[in-house]
Amino acid sequence: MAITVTATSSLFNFNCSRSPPPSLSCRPILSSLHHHHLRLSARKFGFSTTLPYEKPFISKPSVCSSSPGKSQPMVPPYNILITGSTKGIGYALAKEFLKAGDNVLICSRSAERVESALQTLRTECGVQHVWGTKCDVRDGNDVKNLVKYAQENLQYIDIWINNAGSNAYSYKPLAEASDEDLIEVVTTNTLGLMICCREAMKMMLNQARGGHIFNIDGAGSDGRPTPRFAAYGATKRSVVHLTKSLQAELRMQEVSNVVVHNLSPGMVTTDLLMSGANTKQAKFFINVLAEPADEVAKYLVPNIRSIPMSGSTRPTYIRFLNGLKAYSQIFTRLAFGARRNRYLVED
Amino acid sequence: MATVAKFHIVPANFHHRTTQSPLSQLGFCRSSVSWDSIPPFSRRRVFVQPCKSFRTEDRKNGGAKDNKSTKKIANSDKNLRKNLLGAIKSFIFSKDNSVEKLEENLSKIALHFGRYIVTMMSTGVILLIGFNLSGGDGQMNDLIWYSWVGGIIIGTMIGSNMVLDEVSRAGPRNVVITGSTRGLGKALAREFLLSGDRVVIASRSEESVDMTIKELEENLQEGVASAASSCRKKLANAKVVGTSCDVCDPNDVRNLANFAVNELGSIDIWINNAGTNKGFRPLLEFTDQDIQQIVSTNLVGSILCTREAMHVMSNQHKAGHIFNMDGAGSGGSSTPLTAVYGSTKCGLRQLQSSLFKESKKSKVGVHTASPGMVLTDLLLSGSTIQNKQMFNIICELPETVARTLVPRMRVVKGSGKAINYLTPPRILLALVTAWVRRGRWFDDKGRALYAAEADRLRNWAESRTRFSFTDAMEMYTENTWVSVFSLSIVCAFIILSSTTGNAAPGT
Repeated sequence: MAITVTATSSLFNFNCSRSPPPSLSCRPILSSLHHHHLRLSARKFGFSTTLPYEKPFISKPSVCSSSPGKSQPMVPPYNILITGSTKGIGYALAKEFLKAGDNVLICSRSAERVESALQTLRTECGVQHVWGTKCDVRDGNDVKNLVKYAQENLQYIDIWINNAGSNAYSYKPLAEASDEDLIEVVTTNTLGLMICCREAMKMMLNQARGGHIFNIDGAGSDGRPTPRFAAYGATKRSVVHLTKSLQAELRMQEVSNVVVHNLSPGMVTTDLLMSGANTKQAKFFINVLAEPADEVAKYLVPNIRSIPMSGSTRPTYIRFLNGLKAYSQIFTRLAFGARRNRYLVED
Repeated sequence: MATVAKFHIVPANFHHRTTQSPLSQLGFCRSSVSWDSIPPFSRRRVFVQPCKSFRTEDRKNGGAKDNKSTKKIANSDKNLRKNLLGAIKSFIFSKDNSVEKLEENLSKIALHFGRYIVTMMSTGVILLIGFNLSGGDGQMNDLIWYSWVGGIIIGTMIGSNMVLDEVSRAGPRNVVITGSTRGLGKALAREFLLSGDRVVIASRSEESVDMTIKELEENLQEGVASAASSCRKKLANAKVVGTSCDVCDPNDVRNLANFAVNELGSIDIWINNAGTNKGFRPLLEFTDQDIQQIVSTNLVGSILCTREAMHVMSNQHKAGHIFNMDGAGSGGSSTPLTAVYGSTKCGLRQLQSSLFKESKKSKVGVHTASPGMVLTDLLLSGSTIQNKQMFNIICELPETVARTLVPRMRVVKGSGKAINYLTPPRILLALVTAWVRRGRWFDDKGRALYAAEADRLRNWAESRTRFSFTDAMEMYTENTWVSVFSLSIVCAFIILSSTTGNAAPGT
């Protein structure tokens, strides 16, 4: 397999060397991209033999914030928007951002849940730094209203976290899944996320400070199979892919101050996960790998905040549960029996 | 656009890894040919007659099952019995019928005879080489004889396996194709139809379904008219029906499944071909409706259709196969300017792997089919001149792709297979001949140079018969070399092991 890949890429390189002098538009890409984009640019050049003018049809966004003099550095406190943030990991993230002194806008499908979450957050964190509104991410108008609400109350958003996701709280083979569940999963996770990304990008391109968008991944986003929640896995895989494509689009448009990232909370002991804990295998992995939402948020929030702080504009993939950690936890469990019956009683 | 093309190429490499082993692929090609149009001189098996009777039996069973549904099938049932009798008669008293029949049979026998002679001669050559190498050692000669016998047995087993497989699985398939009134879907439907299958087409608009049915029926008539007598028999069962179905609507999908079961009795192959893309532009310029349509057609539609097909197939007697169509982004590389489309297709690939796990114990097979880049509305809508220049190199007409995919889809076995058009050899060929291919489909100004669909089909019908001859020749040699190859491997292994075994004590 590896051989075929290299063969293809070397072919592309070959094409590249034979191509007429790279058009001006490509030069900045070459100079700005170092090793990790080299393969990609090589491919690009490979096709630029037949496609010398790649540029003209990529329209620049109407308002480009990279114009000189306009851009501002991002300074704390940050304005944070988190979708689907009345419970679970979204709520924990909101709380953690508030503790760090940021302004947070929460939203969810149900106005009641938003209201109660607002109240608890206000009592817990004391000061008035939190806003909230009802927003169904699947509805384009709702998301537009959310943006309007954010602009009215917070003027700008630095960090937009697309957290709203659903598994319809059902874990069964696809053949047994109901219509409503399947449609809800796909529309919330994929359609909702796409609409949110689009609106967030639109908003941030108009902001002098730019912005960062974080898309939360989930089981299946690495392409591994997710039996019993196939639809969820497919949507999460598409999330990661969307992030990738958007990064490529922004690079094409030479936008540097709006960045799309991935955020991986790993396994979090929220309702979404726990509703599937009915097999032996699932219980084992939940006990070994899952963490409560607060723990995860405590790790993720400083990592998220460090990105605007350092002024970095490189896309990142922040992972709470990386491979090494996962394997070491599985190892300690198998070797020493650590974390047995941590959340759920295994038989 | 350059990047979009890239995605088609790199994933294709990945797919290739998951395709069947080369050996079985050869088998596939082979059966595809025998199944296509068989010119009189390419009949190469003595089994042809038994094979016919098998087929008719299968049809008879199929007919019996459908008895209640349509009168038409009952009629064809009678015809089939007649055919069956005819086939048996012609087998026994082949001289009774006509001189033509006799000639046919003789040439068939001669062909087979020639084939066995060639096979035996090639094994004989290897045998002689073996004797030369052994240097007259009696013990070694025995070994070579054994290996020769072993090779013959293995070769026969492989060959008979392929033949049996083909015979037992011959007969018309019942195929459902969504989004099949345009582009690749229509080409697939036509190709299945001309392979003698029963096809259900579906699309959102009822009018276009009706139009497509009419068109495909005409194609079928032409196919019957131009085909040889043996092919006509094969095409007797082919039929096309259709209904309107919006794949995003669960009720519509259920209706489609019920419709297919009522019309055909069972479903062997279900192809989720419906897919949409709303032009090439950044996500910012997509409207809510655009995004919603793409997501619901590509992702929701495929999920709902897959589930419905699984329902039907797990309740039926025969095994079934579901195909999801790959597209740009399936391999996981980014798809700027088609971000929405790409990410839905990427999600589908993951879905495929989950379904593969879920359906491991059932008789439903889930597969992917990758058509590569096809010159259809989906690709051409909103593409620029630059894009079209690039399409010249890697794109293909839908009919070309369908011709490659359909035979492989018809004989697919198991689950989790990937059937790809753009395999590494094809990509390599495209890149090497890029210069020649410059003005293949579009000229400098982006005007289409290729013929309209109707003209294309006319040329197609002509080339069908021509093609099958070359294919048949290929198949023939492949069949021979399978046994020769296995024999020579055994020979070489035994010779090598015995020489080293003898040399060791001497030194």
